[in-house]
Amino acid sequence: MPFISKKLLLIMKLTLILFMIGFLQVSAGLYSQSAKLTLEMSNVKVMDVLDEIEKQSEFRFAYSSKYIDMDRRVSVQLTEKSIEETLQNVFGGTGVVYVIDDRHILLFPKTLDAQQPRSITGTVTDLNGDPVIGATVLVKGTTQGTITDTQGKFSITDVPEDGVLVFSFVGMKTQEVDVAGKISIDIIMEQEAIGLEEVVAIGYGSMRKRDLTGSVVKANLETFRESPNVSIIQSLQGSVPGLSVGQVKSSGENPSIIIRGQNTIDGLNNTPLIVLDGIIFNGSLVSINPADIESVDVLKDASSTAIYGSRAANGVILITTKKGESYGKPIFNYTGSYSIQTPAHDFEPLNRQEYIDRNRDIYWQQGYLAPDYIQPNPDFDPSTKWVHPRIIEGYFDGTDFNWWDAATQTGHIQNHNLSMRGKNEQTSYFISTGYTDQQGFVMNDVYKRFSIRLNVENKILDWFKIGVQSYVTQGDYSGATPNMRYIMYMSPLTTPYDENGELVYYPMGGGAAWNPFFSSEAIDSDKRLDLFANFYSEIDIPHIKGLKYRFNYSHNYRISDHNNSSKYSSNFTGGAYKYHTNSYDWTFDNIINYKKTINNNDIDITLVAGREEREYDNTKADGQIFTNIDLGYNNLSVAENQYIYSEAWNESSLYYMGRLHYTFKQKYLATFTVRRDGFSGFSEKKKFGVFPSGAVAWVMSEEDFFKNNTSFIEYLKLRASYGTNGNRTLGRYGTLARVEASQRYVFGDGVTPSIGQGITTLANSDLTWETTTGVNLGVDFAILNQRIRGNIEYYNTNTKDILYNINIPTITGYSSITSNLGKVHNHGVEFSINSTNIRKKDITWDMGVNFSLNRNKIVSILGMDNDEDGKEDDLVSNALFIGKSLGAIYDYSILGLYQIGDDIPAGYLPGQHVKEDLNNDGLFTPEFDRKILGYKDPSYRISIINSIQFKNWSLNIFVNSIQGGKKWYFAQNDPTRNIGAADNITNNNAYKWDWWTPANPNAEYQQLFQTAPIAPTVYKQRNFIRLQDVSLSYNFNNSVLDQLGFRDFKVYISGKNLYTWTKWQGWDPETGEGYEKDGIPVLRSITFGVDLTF
Amino acid sequence: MKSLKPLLIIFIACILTSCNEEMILQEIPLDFYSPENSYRTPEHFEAAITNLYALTREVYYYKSSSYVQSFQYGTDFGRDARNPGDYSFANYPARLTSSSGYAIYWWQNMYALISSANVILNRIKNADFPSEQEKNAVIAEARFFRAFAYRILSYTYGGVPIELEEVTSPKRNYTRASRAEVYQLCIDDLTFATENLPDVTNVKADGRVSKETAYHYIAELYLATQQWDKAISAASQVIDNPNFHLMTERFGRRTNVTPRDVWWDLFQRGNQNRSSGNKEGVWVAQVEYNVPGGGDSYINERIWCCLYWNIKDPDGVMGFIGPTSQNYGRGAGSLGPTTYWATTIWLSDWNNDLRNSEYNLVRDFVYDNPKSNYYGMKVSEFPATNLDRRKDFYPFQSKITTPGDHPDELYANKETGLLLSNARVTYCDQYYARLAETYLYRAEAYLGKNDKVKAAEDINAVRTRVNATPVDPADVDIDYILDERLRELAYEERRRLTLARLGMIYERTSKYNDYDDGQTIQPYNELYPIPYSEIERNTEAVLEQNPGYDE
Repeated sequence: MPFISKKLLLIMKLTLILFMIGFLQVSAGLYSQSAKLTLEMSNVKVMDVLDEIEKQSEFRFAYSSKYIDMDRRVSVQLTEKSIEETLQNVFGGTGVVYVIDDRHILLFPKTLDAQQPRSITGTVTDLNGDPVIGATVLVKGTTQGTITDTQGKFSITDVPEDGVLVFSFVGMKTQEVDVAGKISIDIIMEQEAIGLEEVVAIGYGSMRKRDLTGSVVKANLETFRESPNVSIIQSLQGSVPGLSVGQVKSSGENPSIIIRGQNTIDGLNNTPLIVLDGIIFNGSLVSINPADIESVDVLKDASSTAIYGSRAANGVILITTKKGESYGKPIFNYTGSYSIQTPAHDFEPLNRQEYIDRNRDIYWQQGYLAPDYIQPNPDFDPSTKWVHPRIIEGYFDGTDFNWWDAATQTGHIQNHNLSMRGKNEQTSYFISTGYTDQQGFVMNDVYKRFSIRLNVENKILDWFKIGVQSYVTQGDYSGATPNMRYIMYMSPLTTPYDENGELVYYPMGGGAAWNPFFSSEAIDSDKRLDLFANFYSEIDIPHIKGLKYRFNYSHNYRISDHNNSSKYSSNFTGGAYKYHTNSYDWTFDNIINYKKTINNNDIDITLVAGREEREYDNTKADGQIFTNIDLGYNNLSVAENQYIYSEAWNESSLYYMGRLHYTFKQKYLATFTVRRDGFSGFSEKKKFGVFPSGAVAWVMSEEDFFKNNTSFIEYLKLRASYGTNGNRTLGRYGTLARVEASQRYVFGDGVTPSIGQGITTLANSDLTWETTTGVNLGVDFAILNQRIRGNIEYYNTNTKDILYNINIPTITGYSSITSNLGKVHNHGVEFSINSTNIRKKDITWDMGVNFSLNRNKIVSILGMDNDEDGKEDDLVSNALFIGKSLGAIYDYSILGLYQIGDDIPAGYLPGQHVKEDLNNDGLFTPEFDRKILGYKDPSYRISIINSIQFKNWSLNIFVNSIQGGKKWYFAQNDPTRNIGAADNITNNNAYKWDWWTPANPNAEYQQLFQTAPIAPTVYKQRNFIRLQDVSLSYNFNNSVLDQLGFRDFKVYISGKNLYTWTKWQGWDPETGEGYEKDGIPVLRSITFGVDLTF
Repeated sequence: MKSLKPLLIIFIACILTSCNEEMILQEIPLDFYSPENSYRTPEHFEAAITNLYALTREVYYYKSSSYVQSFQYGTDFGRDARNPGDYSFANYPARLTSSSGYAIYWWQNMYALISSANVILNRIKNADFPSEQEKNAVIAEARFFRAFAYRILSYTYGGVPIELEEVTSPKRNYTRASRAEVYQLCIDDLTFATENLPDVTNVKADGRVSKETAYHYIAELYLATQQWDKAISAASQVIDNPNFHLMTERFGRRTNVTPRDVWWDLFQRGNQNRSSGNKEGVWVAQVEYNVPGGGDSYINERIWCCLYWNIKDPDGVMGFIGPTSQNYGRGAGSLGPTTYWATTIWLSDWNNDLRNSEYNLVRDFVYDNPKSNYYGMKVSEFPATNLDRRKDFYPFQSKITTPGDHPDELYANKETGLLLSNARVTYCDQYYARLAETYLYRAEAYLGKNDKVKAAEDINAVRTRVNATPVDPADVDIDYILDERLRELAYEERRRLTLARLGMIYERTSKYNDYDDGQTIQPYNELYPIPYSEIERNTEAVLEQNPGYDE
């Protein structure tokens, strides 16, 4: 449990005290010793004297007139005296004492000693040194406070010595400062990380939002911190327009990601490029602890992504981890959460009675009485229909076993993160460790993550920095799940065990479904180690202002060991294996950056030259037939049959990139980039590709005519970009033909196996990368005093030379060949609008809406017109149609179900689908009677987030939806097809659905049993609205924190996937799993958590 | 000086990355071979030939049992034993369509075999061999397999597209050749094989094809083209070869099991290869249990053995302790025989024909559950009233399995013979071709010439070996030969191919299959449909569909 024990609390307090001691500073007071004052004043108020001193010197006084009489009249005649002497002269014998802290002087009556509340003065400035006027200064946990004056100065009284001051200002980052005995505090406030000054990563550098020309979005991570997201990508679900993130069903799984629609035909190579701290990341994102991540930026348009050239066509996700941020004491942070997970939708197989009753419906001709088959036939014996003996036995002996319950459980996720971050003149650091323990809904679906991160940067010289960003993560997936498909299949009339308590091989006594618990009974160890370190250095080239050189030298090792042994495998003779894989990537990037401002011209040039190498190999040792498997996979040599397998590959990339960013008067912006990419997997003929891009932007609101005429629009920027990039879908060795060899045949009895070899793939030396060229138009705006902010994007891309495994007649000996073919067009709109609906002292209400809509269509496929109709031919064999979406569904159209007494064509039965005879020839032919029924792609996605802060409470509600309108967002949902016919539907269990029987003629789905000559697939729409994330948190106020010794203490409760509105039947609309036999439910979770900083 | 250091680093970095781009980006595969360097030496071609053996065995003996067995059921021999279940042409029009798996299974796998043979034939031209003779032997072996595949295609689909070259770029303009053209291609390939393959005493190993194997198949192709004399002479090359003869005495591993007979010996584990003394196998598929490349997934036992261990005695008590090795293993009762096969063809010689003996043709079981009051009694004499004769209790030949001889690991209890539930496959080499069939081919040729005396002689060579009454020449006709094949070669021959060659699928199935298959078969089912996916992919020319499959 994540709650803190008393002992831990004590340890934390002690640690805190130790650090306080370490960081307490003793003031040297140099100024006070050197400054000399000359005063000649008679019969003036004390206040006037102090004013004169402030005028003459840099001394500043802090006092409370409650305790000190400022109107007392005095006379002073002093020449070249120290401040000490001066004060002695003014206050001597009045019971007023003073503390001099360098330039600051605190006055208080003698009756109060130094432990008493004190006054504090100071100045608040921004990064440019300009005063921040009107900033709020509060004593934390109280309502006591003040605001800064026109010089940015403030003075606040009665501050406890160990209190904390909170500085806040609209558009600036709120800062907290420990008083720690100080009497003066000067603060430099930084721009808040929202709005136009927000800095976003753009790849090989960063940029203020204000300066962007392309479509780059910073993800809102904070809102989703309270959700139990094991992978950071889950936090992006629905929160970035144009970024589609899939659902996660099993532990430690990464969701799928697509940015802006499908460019390639097969849909497998749409994953965006992931860049972690500037390094292209090839590992699994789940191995990065979400708690370590500071920001995620998404590059969407061709001009922004072009800097990653041949890898960028699917968009780029830039992940930046945390670093040491604020000066002062280290900040410790602990977050802990505990989640309970249950299926979002109950969906279980039939129980005993339902299963038995189903036989009557399957064999309705015998199960019900002719002629109308409504009355049950009393003579019908369901047991005559099963063919597997254990089912029949179970029917008679009353067995009722719930396989589903035996294979599932309530899931949970436990999360603990502890981090320390800090910064001083030389060094900044972020150190963290995390532990995640995820126990899925399915038995043994386990994921444990242990992670440690160390990010350190050291400024060795003024112009020379070195640093390292590193982590080590162990992901532990040990434990094998039962075969869920077979769990679903198993008849409730059977049990997994025989009378000796041993698992039965075929619990039903026959069929293809073996005991689903074989796999889960195995001893399984699956550990994946991920080691990453990026060593970098940044040099400000001396004598040339603005010129910087940086190199990144990174290494990423990923090692996985999957070991498994089971006495049940290998046909009950016992089987065990050890499977080891190594992945190793290294990257060396050289980045030169030059920034220069000449008058109103800002120039920012970036040049990159880099190289990436990747290596992979695996080894599998497999032992089968054990006389004694007690040693499991640890001693494979005792296996009678021993097999060894291995695989390996490597690949190299070289790249050069140049980027020029130019700004004139902060009004006119332009970015030009070009990247040259070389990849070993490209064909001999074309090893390099060049990918250029350009973008311009105009900040209209900076124009005088705009400022003078438009009052309610504060900010308006228009953007346009154009660029080309590639998709390296073509993997390594993709252009080469393969000859694969293995032990294939044994000539004779008891002799050595012979090696057989054959060509498995055709060569294609003309293969090259896919090229995507696109336009992006965007508008950024802020209106009504920044109450409403947002952007609107339109894009239009064309992809050509698509790599595709095109089906060819198998007469050739191959069923497909990889080719560059065709063109695909995508266009879409996205918008993201954030508004502050209420902004009051105690309550704020922010709302955000994200919307995205994408349409794609095939422009060309093979470019052939064999039917000579003047239009390019569709490729029906791959369901590709010119002018239609890639997700076209091409099948027979279902009109209804045949009923008893209908005129039914030969081969068909009542309860089967009536198909539309498109050409009215009385026949059903695949050639003439299929048509496009709809499309798989969504029509649009929309999500709405509401964040409400009320005093110490904050509430986030996030609703996500994907809609298909009339024609879109279809998927196969066909229980009869998925479960199988004939023997399978008779013996295998499944769930309940609305199947046809004579008594249920208007059923949604067809009859259960016989196959028809042509059985069209049933498609349904997946439209849904989901209450995806809700969280409620409470920040304790200062008095409580004081007692505990914390800076911040938050507790929260959150819910994920709380409710889904949908007509989709089956597992889940978002996963697209309907009546699947091996579906896994999406989980609903309730999370309790704490977040404390000290 | 200070500023020199970083510049130096930049310089080194540039050298590291930019020099010799070509070398850095060169691609050399690590774990697979490339065609350019792996079809050069005799060893390479040996491996490529081995692959042909493996592909053929895969298609014939295990890949997907439902489709493999589709050459047996829906004929005058086999029928579905389930509800109907998956192994079924119970509803012919519904099951056999151009989109169904049956159509593509044989098509795709046979063309894959042809393509692999074509790769060898194309690339061997430039390979170095010690002698032309050795090279020709490899060519002959590859052409044998190519003919084997085209033979199956032409029997099954009629005329099919002919591809004799290695395909190196996509091709979509295939058209169908005539059936006669495909037959001729098979004959040409097999002729080359008969001339260049080693004879049976000189083959490299058990299981390799010989000159005589090629003669066996070319004889069949001559039958298909009605070239009777050539068929006779080709068959005689095998029959008259002193290295072949029908086995007449008991032999092999299990002669100590009595009372049994030589016909039973032919099908015991380890008794198929010549090294076991068997002189009857013309070509034997090699199956080795639990060895990589052993191909031990043929589930003949499971599919064709009835579900006897599910039978209850008349009291309703389980009659059997479970599936036992001595009771022919762990049948699942998926496919059974037609009544024609189970009864009719044996009637004339019920008691003499060894092939109908209780060891060879299993018709009954003895209750072996000690808890049953009928323990030790025959099921046939004491059947339960609702005994399921479709699935639980039907006859089959014991050659489908390895009675009393399952691999040791598969016993739950060696003493009682009780098998573990994973015992399901056939652990025994399988005959592609056996001399008895060569005799029956020659008989067919003689019959073609209307020489019934000679035809009867050949038939009787097969019959006398099993103690069956010789046939009177007057009684010999094609139906008799087909019946004899059912008696002698059931489960071995691919019944559909035999009937298709003779154009008698519809005739015999509708006449003799007394189950759903026989009632629903249509005349057009004589040929399989051309797979619709192939028609669809072949965008640059039209592949004609076989008549009747347009609906």
